[in-house]
Amino acid sequence: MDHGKFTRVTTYFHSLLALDVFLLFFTGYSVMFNDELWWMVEFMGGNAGVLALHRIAGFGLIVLTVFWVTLMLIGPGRRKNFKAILMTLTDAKAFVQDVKFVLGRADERHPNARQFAGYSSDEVPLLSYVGKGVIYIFTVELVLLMVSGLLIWSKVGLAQFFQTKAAATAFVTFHGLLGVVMVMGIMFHIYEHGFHPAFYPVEMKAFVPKSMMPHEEHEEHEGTGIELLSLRPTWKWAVNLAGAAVVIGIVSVLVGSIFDSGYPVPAGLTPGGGPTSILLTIGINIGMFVLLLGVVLSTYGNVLRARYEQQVAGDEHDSEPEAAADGGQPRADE
Amino acid sequence: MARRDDARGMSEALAIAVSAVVGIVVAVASVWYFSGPFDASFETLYRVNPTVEGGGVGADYVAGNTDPLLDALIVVIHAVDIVAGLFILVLVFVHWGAFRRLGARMRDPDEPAEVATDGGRDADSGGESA
Amino acid sequence: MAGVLDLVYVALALLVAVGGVFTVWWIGRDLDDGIDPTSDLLRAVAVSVFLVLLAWPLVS
Repeated sequence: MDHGKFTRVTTYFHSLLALDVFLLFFTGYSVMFNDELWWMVEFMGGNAGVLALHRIAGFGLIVLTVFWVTLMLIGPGRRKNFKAILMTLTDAKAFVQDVKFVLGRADERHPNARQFAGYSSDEVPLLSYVGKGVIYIFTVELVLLMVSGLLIWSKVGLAQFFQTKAAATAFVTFHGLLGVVMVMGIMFHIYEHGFHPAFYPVEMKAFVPKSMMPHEEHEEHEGTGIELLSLRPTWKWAVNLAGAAVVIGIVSVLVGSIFDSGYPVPAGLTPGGGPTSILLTIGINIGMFVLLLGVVLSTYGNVLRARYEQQVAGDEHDSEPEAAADGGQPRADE
Repeated sequence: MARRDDARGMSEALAIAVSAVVGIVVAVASVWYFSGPFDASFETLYRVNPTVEGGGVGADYVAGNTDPLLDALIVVIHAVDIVAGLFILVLVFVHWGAFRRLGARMRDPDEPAEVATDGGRDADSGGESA
Repeated sequence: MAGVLDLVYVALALLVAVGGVFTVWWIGRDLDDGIDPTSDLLRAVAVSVFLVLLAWPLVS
């Protein structure tokens, strides 16, 4: 376990936001990629069911987002976060060094890129350069998605805000295409935090609040100390399998979005939602599987958190009899 | 007025409660506003009347999507998708490669582990072995 | 038949994806991590072929 970053509220918020966004993805993209994900529409109660679920989850997204922005503004000790997310030149350097590290031209990842801080955790900022990017993309995307989503919320509203059906259709298309950036970004996010060799299969920083993380003083040590850790046996194939699945998922969704952009009426007004192929169907379904993996890992993180909390509580309980054996006073009420 | 520390504002619990209420209120209000009753009834809105001056509802049957701005919007968002998608792919590969390199530095599962993931050492192993 | 811009987009996506999986294989060759480089190469080929065949019916 590495040093914690999330507060207690953030761990709950992150998990709820994840569930809500996954639900929005599954409902939204089963409609947009209807040619490839028809089974998902059937599974979630047909067209009407899916769109109802999408609206409910969309409502949840507005609640969560506004809650979060408000909390950042009025919560104690939160203002400094706004400064922590600013992109700096160092972040650009961190990206360049990451590329060099991968190509074997640098010995270590840049502190601004490090996910596993280990012994050098004092050098690591609150957010890696990727973490900052995730927050930027989320902010811009969520605002645009919520605004465009609300504009196409209902048929009456639709006709009120747009003069023509074509204009309304264009906005539906716009809404779907906007989310493609999010869906690709989330696939990367799942890979980035699920398959780091030191954390695989799940990075507990996101699930156990920093107040509960053990903070031990380490003796002087060169580097992060990652070479002391032992790999999990399954990591060797999991990292490559998941990597391939994420790449196929991202490319499929991207290619799909170029050709499948306008369900129910595509941009080019061809009925049927554009061309498809068997492999595109498989590829987009692999992408959805990556998202499902995200749901599973997020849930697993919360299970581990519950276990950890139980263990901490158990340790405190266990230590009481020992204290009594040391000569302390035995408790009278037991 | 300016305080030196960042701990201004209200207590954690109150802040969470207030934020939750604000979130729900804004969500309800926005959904109500965008799907609300309005003055126009559904029927008048959907009366096909393409000859109304300035393009009434139903004008799209005649004109179709002639607004170049909407076409441009779609073209732009396609380009944004591609640029973002390519960058995300590069990030995936950077991390995939980095994970492989980091993984190669770690101990094999069959080697005896000396350190738990939290950095704490086993009680019976010395500190000098690394 | 797809537009020219669409073709460029698809080509770019394939270029980055195929280049990336082969880069992972190339990195893996000189790593001492017990993963067989041949399996890396096979995976890179499989992913590339899959993606090219996926896009082919859409652009041809």
